[in-house]
Amino acid sequence: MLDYLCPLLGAGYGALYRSGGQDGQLIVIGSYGCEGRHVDQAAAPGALVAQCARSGQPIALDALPADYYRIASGLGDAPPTTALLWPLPGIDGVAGVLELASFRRLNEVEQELMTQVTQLVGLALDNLANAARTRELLEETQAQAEELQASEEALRVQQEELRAINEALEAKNRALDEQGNRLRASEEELRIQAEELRTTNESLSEKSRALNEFNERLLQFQSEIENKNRELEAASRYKSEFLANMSHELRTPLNSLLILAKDLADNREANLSAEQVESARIIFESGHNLLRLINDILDLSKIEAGRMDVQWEDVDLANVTAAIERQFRPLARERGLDLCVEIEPAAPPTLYSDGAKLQQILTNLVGNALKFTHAGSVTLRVERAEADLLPAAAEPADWVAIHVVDTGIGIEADKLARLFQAFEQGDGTTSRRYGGTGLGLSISRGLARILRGDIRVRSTPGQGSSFILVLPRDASTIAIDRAAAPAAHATATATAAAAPQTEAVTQDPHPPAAPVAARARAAMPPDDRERLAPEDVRILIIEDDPAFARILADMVRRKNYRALIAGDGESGLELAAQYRPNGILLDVNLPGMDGWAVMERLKAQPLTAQIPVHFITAADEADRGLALGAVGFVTKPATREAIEAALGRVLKAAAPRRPQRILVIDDDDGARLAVCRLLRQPGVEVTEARSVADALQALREQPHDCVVLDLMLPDASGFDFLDRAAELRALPPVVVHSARELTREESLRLREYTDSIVIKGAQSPSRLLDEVSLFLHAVQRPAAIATPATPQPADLAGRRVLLVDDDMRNVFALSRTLKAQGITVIAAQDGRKALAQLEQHPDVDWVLMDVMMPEMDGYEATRLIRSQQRWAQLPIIALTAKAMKGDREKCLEAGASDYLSKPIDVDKLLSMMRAWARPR
Amino acid sequence: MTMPAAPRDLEDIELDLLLEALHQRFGYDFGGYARASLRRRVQNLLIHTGVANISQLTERVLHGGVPITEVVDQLSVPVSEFFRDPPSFATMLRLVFPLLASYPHINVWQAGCARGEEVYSLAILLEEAGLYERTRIWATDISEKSLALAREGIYPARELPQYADSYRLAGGRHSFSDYFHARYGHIKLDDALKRNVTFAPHNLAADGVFCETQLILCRNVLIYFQPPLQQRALALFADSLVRGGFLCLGEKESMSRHEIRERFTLLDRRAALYRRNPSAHG
Repeated sequence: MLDYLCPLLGAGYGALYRSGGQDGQLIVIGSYGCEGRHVDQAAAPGALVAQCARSGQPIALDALPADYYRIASGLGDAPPTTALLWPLPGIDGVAGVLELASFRRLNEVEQELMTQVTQLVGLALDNLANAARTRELLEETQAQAEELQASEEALRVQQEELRAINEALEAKNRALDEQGNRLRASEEELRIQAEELRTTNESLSEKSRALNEFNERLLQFQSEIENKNRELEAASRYKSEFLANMSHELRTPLNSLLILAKDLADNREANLSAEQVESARIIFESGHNLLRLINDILDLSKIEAGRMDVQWEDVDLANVTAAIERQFRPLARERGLDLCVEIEPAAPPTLYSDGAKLQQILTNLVGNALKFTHAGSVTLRVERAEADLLPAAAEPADWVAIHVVDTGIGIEADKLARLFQAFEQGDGTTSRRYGGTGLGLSISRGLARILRGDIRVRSTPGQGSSFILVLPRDASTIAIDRAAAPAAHATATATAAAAPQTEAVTQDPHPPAAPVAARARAAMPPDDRERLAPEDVRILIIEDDPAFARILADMVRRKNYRALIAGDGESGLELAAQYRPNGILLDVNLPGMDGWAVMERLKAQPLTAQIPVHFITAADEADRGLALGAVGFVTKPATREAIEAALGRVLKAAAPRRPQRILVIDDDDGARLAVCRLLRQPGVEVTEARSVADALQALREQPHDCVVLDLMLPDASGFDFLDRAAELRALPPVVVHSARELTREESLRLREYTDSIVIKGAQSPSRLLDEVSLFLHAVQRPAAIATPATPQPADLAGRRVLLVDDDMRNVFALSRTLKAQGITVIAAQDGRKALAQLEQHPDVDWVLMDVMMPEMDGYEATRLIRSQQRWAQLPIIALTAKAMKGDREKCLEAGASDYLSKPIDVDKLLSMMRAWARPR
Repeated sequence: MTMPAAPRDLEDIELDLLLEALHQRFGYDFGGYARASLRRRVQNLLIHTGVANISQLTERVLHGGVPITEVVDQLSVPVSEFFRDPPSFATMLRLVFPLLASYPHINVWQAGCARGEEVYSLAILLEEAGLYERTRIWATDISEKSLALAREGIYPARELPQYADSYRLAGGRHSFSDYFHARYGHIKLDDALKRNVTFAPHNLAADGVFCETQLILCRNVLIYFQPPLQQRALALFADSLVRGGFLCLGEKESMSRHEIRERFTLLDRRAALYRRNPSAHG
């Protein structure tokens, strides 16, 4: 613009200023023909330019001094004469100043031009300034925006950091929480243990209290028993007194009888025939025997009644033995036996005792010895007692042992114990053969005890016996202790044969048990003896506790058997012989004869020996029971199952046994051999088959009790075998022994026939054996199928149900039940598969939906089914093991039509299905 | 005329009311739980929720404010650890696993799985024994919160050295670290271990048998129960197990006080390992 204006106006200099600098300063934005220095000066505040800008009026200066400014050209320079300043008006006041310097003043036209030009330039400047400001503002805004962005960024970073810190804190919190939980839990467990300890302590002190009570009661019992004992002793004394008196009464007439008989037998007047003399002699002999018996009884009763008088004195042992020798020497000689008397030097020469009684004992012992010895010798030996013959605390030096040793027939071990029992003749034949009352030993031992000693016996059958009379040197130092006196301290070196034992039992005369039985029956629950039919299965219960007997009887009756009840062993034996039960449940602890004795007698009687006996008892002596031939043993308190198992065992044992047959099907020879070897045992026959054809043939030929099946066979699959075998005859229990793993579908299919599937492996033989033995010994096959309790109409036949459950046991049982109703069952083991099945079988009448399933549970599956319009009305019955309050609601919320809790009540299920069945 | 009963401890009454409320409103029956232990845990719950007394807690549980899941979680002592009591696992490996191998499909029930540590421990051992492929583990607990956490499978790494030791003692053949990745002081178990686990709520005090199992683990759960509830749970186990199936209880637990022991044979006292007897029914 200046380039244009200056030449036009003849100006040699021009400058253009714009306002808007700092502090309202003017800035040079254009110049013409000048150097910057002047312009700068002119622009300074207070200068004319500024004045012009401030005032807004043009300024004209004439006659400028020569040094004001020089307008220079190439040829020279000269100062201008006139300086002109125009304000450049803008919208908001002066926008700038235009300065011109020239050598002449402007004419009017030029001035007018300038007025217009300045206005235009002002506006242009204004525009320029505005544009610049706008740009500045824009830039500023941009900068601010960027700043904002940056701080936002920073904020985000900060947030990020905060979040991280938060998370760390949370994690720490969680860890702390968990730590706290763990601490709390372990604390909890500790406390529980402490509590348990306390409870244990309490129960211990409870128990010790109970023990104390028990002890007290025991003491009470003891004193009662002592009382009873005393009463018993009194009764026994009365008996003995009676016998003693009786004996006297008998002896009196017998004496006269003996005297007269002897008189007659002597035939002093010689007027009797030989025959009559013989008769008289027999009368005398018999009478004499009778007298001896009566004397013995008298002695015994005196001993038992404690009325035997003792004459304490010093007894010279040599004298006694000499007297014995004198007495028996002739008899020994007569029988061809040696009679030796030996006195050891160490033995004491005298005893403080009762000489007459000592002699009586020895007479009996030596007499017996001679009687039972056919060849050899009888030795009477006096020595110091060995310690093992004496009571524990005794000093051998204070005792003497008198041995009577024979080389006779000896005594069986089982009879040693009964040797000393009075009134009980173990073997009647003995006394008949050898004579004597059989009371001698009882009397001898009674006398020995009165003399504060005892008699021991040692015997070896066939080699001889040794009776040892042990006596104290000074009887006055030994207190009588009846309770401690050993009943029969018999040591036997005998190798006892079993035969005599049986003999002893079998000859037992059936005791006339009627009164006992009648008494026991009175308290016992009624049994079925009045209504026995020949074909009834009878179980005899021998049990003294009426309550328990009733329980057993009820269980027996529930199985449709008849129960016979005996409250004691005697009546039990009687009933066993009379009714020949199929089995016996026997208690061990019975009044009188105990269970063991009953068992022995049952086994000894051919009539009852074959009846299976099962012990049910509080005693814990299984081995003893089984050794006696029991088929089983249950300890009290017995559970119902245990008793039922016992019943089962009894009846199983009662059935005639045939060998059990196992069919092993496996095409691999080695594997089959191994299985056969594993299963083979006494009473078990193993049939082998290597193909389905073989196996079917084997089943056709004879029934089997168990089948062990490998699924992979050459001619057909194991599944085929099962299907075809099932058509053939009722399939016995099957154990699948498979070398490969099975799919769930295969397992489910097998479930139709068995739930015993054993995958071959390291431990499979033991499980295979377990499973097979279980089947061979099981009372009945496990009931796998739930059947409706009430008869069902067949109205559901032909319908289809989708059963969604992953529990094979349940699927199997339910399908069997539903199939039995004529319903077609489609199975799916989880929600996803259920949906797929529905897709394939859209016409099912119901869905039975388990809730707890893997992959997709019943809630979700139900929801998904319901989400499809076409199945909005499909009845879905939820089956669930869950029984909590909200569970039913949860099922219905998910869309189930109804709800049934496991275990499934089949009747309920069927009626529910009926209720929801859509009409056809 | 009856004498007035001795006044009961206030807290006892409050506890009864709380338990009644939980039962009536939500169906959770804690009546069979060991009382003293329950009391302590309710005390903890008060601290945890910042509620002044049991009555207030009851009020807050009934009217919202304290979620029932929280209450159930706190009352059920949801704690375990990996390979807890390693000798028991070792015994199981020796006595149980070889027999499990003879079943075509194996169901294991972890009853009271809490935070799931034992579920994963078991899955690892089954995996190493080559049995996991045909095994399904049912991990159940009364607490939904516990189940959610168990499903997650994230645990603090703090006790890792001990877990690694336990893993070895339990009979682990590789390295415990093969089965998780650790980050931020936590370990996350491999999701692959969960592939055959079904986590599901189940209440031993109310719910029934839901599947046939070869092995049941229920360790340190029965100690919190009173004998009748213990008996119920044990009967449930007996009914769930196949004949010859195994039951593993906690170290301090035993069924010697219960009649149900007749249905089991003790295999190992130390591991509290039982085997169900074969019986005629089932």
